[in-house]
Amino acid sequence: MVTPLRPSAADRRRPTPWDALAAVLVLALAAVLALALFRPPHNSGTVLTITQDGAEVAQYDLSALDGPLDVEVLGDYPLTVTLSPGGAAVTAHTCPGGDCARASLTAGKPGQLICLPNHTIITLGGRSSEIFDAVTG
Amino acid sequence: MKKQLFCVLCVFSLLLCAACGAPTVGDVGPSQSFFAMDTMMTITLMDGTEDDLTAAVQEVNALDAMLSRFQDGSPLAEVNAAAGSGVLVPVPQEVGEVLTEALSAARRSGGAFDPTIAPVADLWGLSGDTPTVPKDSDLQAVLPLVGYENVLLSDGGMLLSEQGMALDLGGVAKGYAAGKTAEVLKSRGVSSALLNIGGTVTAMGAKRDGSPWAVAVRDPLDEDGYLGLLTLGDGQTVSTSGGYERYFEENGTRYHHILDPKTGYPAEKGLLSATVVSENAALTDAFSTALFVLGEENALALWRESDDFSFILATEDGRVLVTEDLADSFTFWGEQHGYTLETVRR
Repeated sequence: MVTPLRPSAADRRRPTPWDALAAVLVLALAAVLALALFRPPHNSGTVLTITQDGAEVAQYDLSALDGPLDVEVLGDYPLTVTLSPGGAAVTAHTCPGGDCARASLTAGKPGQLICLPNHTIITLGGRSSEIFDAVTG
Repeated sequence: MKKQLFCVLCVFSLLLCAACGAPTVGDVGPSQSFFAMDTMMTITLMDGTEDDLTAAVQEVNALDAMLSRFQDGSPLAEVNAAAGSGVLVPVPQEVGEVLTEALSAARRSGGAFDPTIAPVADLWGLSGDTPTVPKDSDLQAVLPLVGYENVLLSDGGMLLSEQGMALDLGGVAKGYAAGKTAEVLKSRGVSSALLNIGGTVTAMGAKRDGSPWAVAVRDPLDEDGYLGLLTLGDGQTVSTSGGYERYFEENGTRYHHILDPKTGYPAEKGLLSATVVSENAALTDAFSTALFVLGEENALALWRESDDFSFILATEDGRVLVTEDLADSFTFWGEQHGYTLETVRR
């Protein structure tokens, strides 16, 4: 029978520096994963989604823009939305009454622009469900 | 020591697994936004299925087709076309129910809400692309056609007694649709949902974490601001009317869309908006218009003689009036926008 020069890991009674290193690595990994899971979604206040007739037609991350970007939304009453790192606004429209022109969105502040004539919804930052579930008025 | 280290790692692993499966803030079930009744709607289910959601959307669309006066062949279009003929026009049960609610709201508000306002609204062009201020003589000519007292509803159908009269149920249809759709969802076993029917919002049950549905009340002077936060109990509906919602400008003057049935002109009674909460969704919709037309004093009088609704009024002089029965469910945010809060009592 051959006697090992060193006891196997299972036989050791005290942790070695390698055990400590393994533990530190696992804890660090756990911390990183926990942060990723619990922190708000990245850029949650700068992601802008355009939907028309209930279907998503485009999505932009305002924080990734270098400057103003004009987006034309086609439909019965086409409109132009100008996006920038600071927010979004309807800068041209053909809707009767001008309802679609009277609003803008600010990056970091969840909100919606609704153009009823063109059946268009422009949503910034996803649902604002942390505070309320709907708006009346 | 080894065992302790193992236990610590196990606990961390469990925590990570739990985190992966935990519901996130705003975690909801099926949800759909769509356009109907000339507005945007969103129905969100907490405990329903995609089939339940489809049934809800279909219900709203069916009511939209039924209750539109502009859709050729719709029951309401036929009733309007037969005005003055003396012939009862048979209508589906739902149309009869909506008209019953509308006439009730008209009677209770003394005509501040009137479903026969259509001839005046048409003169203003409010349903079209080019609204305009009509001649006063033209307005005076059509005002006699406005009068809910001249609508006959019986088991046999509907009748408008005068030629030229027309019904427009737009002021009550969204509320009715919200209530009816909630009934459909309930019959399918859905117990938790939020129905946003163009700003008329009906709550079913509570959210997954047990907290009530929360609805922000828009600041009529700032489209990005809110007067406060309202929590809704199971079966409650909230609806708001205000002159800021839809308007046009002519020769430097702004004209909004809420017409006073008595004068034919946009209602100017010192209110910026009127929000109504009730378990009767159709009444909520109609009374938000009625209170805006009535003004503060008459709105208060109507509330004091009723027991089936509550209100929040924003006045032109910067006050937010909240009925005492909403004190526990309304959180005031208007202070930062220059409003002062007043609680009104019976």
